[in-house]
This record gives sequence, structure tokens and C-alpha cells, in this order.
Amino acid sequence: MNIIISNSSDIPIYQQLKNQIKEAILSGEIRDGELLPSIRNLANETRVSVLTTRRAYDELEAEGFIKTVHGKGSFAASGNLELLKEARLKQVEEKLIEAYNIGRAIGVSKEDMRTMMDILFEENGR
Amino acid sequence: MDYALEIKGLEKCYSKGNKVLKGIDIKIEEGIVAGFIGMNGAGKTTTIKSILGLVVPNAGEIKIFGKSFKENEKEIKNRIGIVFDNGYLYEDLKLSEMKQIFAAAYTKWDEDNYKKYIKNFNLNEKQKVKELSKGMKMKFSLALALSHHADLLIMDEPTSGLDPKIRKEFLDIIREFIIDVGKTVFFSTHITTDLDKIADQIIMLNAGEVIFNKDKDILIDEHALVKGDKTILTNDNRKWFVALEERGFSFEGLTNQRERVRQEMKQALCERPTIEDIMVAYMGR
Amino acid sequence: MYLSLVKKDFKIVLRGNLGILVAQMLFILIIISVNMGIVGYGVMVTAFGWQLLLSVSTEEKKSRSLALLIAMPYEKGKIITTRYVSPMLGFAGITLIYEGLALITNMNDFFIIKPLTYDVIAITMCAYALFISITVPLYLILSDSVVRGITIFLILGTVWIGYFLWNNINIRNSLLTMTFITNHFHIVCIIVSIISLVISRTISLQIFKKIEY
Repeated sequence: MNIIISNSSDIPIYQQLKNQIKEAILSGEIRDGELLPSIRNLANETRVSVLTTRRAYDELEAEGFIKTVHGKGSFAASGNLELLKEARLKQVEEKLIEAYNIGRAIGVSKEDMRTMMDILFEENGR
Repeated sequence: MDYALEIKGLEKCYSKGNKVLKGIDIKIEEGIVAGFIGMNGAGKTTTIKSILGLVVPNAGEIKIFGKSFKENEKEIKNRIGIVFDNGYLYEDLKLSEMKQIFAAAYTKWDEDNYKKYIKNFNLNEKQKVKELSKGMKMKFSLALALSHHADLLIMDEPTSGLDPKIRKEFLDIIREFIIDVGKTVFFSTHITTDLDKIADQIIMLNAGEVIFNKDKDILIDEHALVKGDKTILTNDNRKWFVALEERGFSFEGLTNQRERVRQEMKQALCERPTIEDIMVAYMGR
Repeated sequence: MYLSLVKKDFKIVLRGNLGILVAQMLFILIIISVNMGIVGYGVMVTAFGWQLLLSVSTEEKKSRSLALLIAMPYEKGKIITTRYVSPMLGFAGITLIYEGLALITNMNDFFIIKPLTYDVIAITMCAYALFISITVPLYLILSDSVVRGITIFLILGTVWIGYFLWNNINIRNSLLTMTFITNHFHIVCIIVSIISLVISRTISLQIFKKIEY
């Protein structure tokens, strides 16, 4: 897990931490069921307060991304594929809306967009 | 929530009119590294001495590991590791003799652990305490403090006067200590850069009162160094600043309402402050 | 726990001072024993006790190490009791050394040190205990140089008064007629020693509890 906290970012520290862990889980960098560093180890490495890492883990657990087993540690949530898929679908939706907005602004038609999408699917063999 | 240290309403007067502590309330959870900052004379050392029984407070209650200090003094002291700025070690004794005094006092003295630290720190036990440099004295004090399975490490200015290399080694040792579950560290310091790197919680004392007691990251997220053109200051937004310096055509200040300043003073430049920036700003009030 | 505290005291007094201490002892022994007989023993013992208390107090005030001891799980009671145990052990040690030297010098006729009698040991112990009892609390309240002055004054004053009283035939006779004292001399000495040490320790502990660091 490669967490880098930016000092110059406007995003609150615990938020940065959460986002990066979430990303790592969604992208598969952290596998389902993999043991995450303890809140103390994470705090030591990123030079962040342990209260912050704890808060990040607590919120990630509430959101279903990790599961904490008392005495053992925190694990990337296994079997929460529904949740992950939903999160990913949401991402797709967001990106499509972005593409739509940019396209419309320069006058791209629905047909053109469909064609671009067809090409994409063909090129990548799916 | 288990608190390693709870201080309620601590007051101390040294002579008529000289109230050094004016009602201190501090809570430190287990597993936390808490840093205690403030000017000289703010009351940090007096607070620490009150915790250890070296100073008798006029009022207030102290609980360590959830137990009343007064009633469980010996048992509690057995679980505390102490490091003082001056060491307070017997100058004319050899290190090995100084160790004897410690080993006999603590029920859980661990000779193997002690020997490991002595070896890692390159200390020669046959030397006398007074022959050690300041840095080595601190390391020796640490070796003693960390060799009896203490759960709470209390330190008063442990790194003052030490060069950056030794301070880095000190921080590494603390990081290693705190990895075990249930260990807590509480130390006072002037060297805020050390706290930037290692503290979880920051407590600032000024003139005997607690000015703030916060999670380090929240503290830094809430505050910002703000710079900008003097013309954007108004009577309203001046109130958002803890400290404000107005110059010829520009201003510079520290706000404790970073989000607000970011949203409503868009022409100003906001930067992340260091703990020192924050401390200096509050001291000036 | 007591052992380590007492060891610490002896290390402090013997460490820097060993050469001086030995020289002092021999000086006292030779000069005074030759001239005033058994008084040499009394002065030797007192000199050691005096040196011990002074060295320990100086070191602890210089290093402020009492603060450390208190922050450690040493009970204040034990810390104070050590202040008395160490010098009394010193008394026992010096007595044995003196007696040893007396035995050795009596084997050849070159130089003779008077061997001790139980009476002498008892009265010296009593005087020594009184001396310690007065001095220890003083060290807690006053600065070392002041106490040093007071104790020298005290010792000389006591020796002078004792000498004066003993040489006064009337007083000596009335003392000797206190048959209770002369018959149970040893026990009276021991009891007086213990009482004075206990009272002194109680006072010292009260003072110590109030000191802040």
C-alpha cells in the first residue's frame, strides 16, 4: 500500500488517507481479505496522527470497505463485490457524464458518441 | 475508552499571587503520543512534576491508568518510565551503579532489554554519568526508562539541546516503543518539529492554562497561514484570525477557520501551518 | 530496595573521597590515639559519619537526584530511613576496622592502639546516634555549607563539654552514683540511641514529605 499524504493539498488529511485506501482496495492493489497495517503502523509510516488513521479505518469500515476483527487487525472487505461494483459503476457514470458534457459543448452528436464507444469495445475485444 | 492519564482541575500556587497552574484538564488515551508545548514558565514542568508526585498541587485530581494516584502511588510509579531534561542522575556514579538503583526499584526490571539498549546506544557502563555528553545522558535515561516494561513514558524536554541526528534517533525509539499496544507517551518540548513528526495529540499550555488540546492533524487542518493584500481585510474577517500582522500593503496571519477563509477570502493565499506557526500565533494573544 | 540505596550512599562517600578518607582516618587515629587514648576511636567514627552525610547530601543536592528517587517507586519512608541506616552501618564498619587495627598493633610492641571495651563502644554509639539524629534533619532544611559549620561546632562543643564534665569530680561522682545507669549502662545507651534515631527519622520524614522538587 503506497499512501502519500500531501502537505499542500486542501483536502483534510483523514480524507486523503481514506481516499487512497479506498482507491487501493477498488483497484485491486489491496486484495480482498488482505491484512491492512495496524492503525499505529500506518500512523508511524505516514507521519500522521493515530487518531486520524483510526478515524479513517472506522469510516471505511462503516462504508463497508474494510472489516476489523478484534485482536487480529483490519482486512480489506471480502465478498463485498456488490458494493465495489456499485462504486465502480458510479465512477463510470460520472466519467460518461463528463464526456457527454465536453462533447455537447463542442457539438458532438449522439451518433458520434455511440460510434466512439463501439470502436472502444471493438478495439479492446469485449 | 481507556485513558492512560487524566488530570482534572489541577492548580498550583508557589507564593501569594503566583499561580503557576490555573485549573488544568487533560485527558490522554492509551496508545497516544501526546506532545505538551508552551513557553518557558507556562507550567509544563510543574504539570509533569505534579503527575509524578514531586510537587504537591493545591487542587485537582490525577488519575493514571484509571487509578487514583494518591491511593496507588507505588503501583503506578512502577509502570511509568521517566526522562528528565537534566537527567537528575547521580553524577559521580558509574552507569552500572546508576542502573542498580533503577533495577532495585522496579518489579519488572528487564536486564536483557537494558543491555540491548546500552549496546545499541554505544554506551560504556564503566563510565561515570558526569563523563557523558548531553545526548548520551538522554539515551542512558531512555535506556533506564524503557527497561522495566513501562506502559506510560513521561518526559520533560527530553531533546532540548540535542542535535538533529540524535533527535531523529530519539523519535525512532519512541516510534518503536509505541507500536506495542497499550503504550502511551507524554512529553513536553520546545522543539515543535519533533511533534510535527511524531505526535498524535498536541496540548498547548500558556500562563497556566490549556489553550488547546487537539488531534494534531485536525489542529493543522483547521488552521492555515494566510497571506494577501491588505485591502481584502474587513472588520468581520479580521475576527477569523488568531494572529494577524498588517504591513504596508500586505497582511499575514494565522486563522483557525481555514475552510471559511478559503471560501470567502479567495484572493488570499492559504498554506498549511506547522505546529510552531500555530504555537507562536497563540502565544502572542 | 534498602540494599541498593545504602550501597549508593557508600559508593558516593568512598568514590571520590577514598584517599582523603583513609588519610583522615589514619591521621586521627595516630595523633589522637597517642595523645588521648580511646578518644581517637570516637573521633574517627564521627569523622566518617560526618563525611558520609556531607558527601551524600552534596551529591544529591548537586545532581538533584532525590527528584528521580521520588519519581521512582521508592517510598519516601525508605529513602529517609536509609539516611540513618548508612551512617550506622558506617559506625559498625569503622568499629570493626579499629578493633582489627588494635589487634594487629598489639601483636608487636612498636605501636599500640588501645583495644575497645563494650563500655566504650556503647557510649560512642550513643553519642554517634545523637549526632546523626541532629544532623540528618538539618541537611534536609539547610544548605550544606551551613550544616557543615553547625556540625563542626557541635562536635567540638560536645567534646569540650564532655571533657569538662568528666573532669569535674563532682559531676563525675554524681553520674557514677546513678547506679541504674552504671548497672545497665549498655542497655541505656542502646535505648537512648534508638529513641533519638526514631524521633529524628519521624521529624525528617515529615520535612521530606513537604519538600518539593
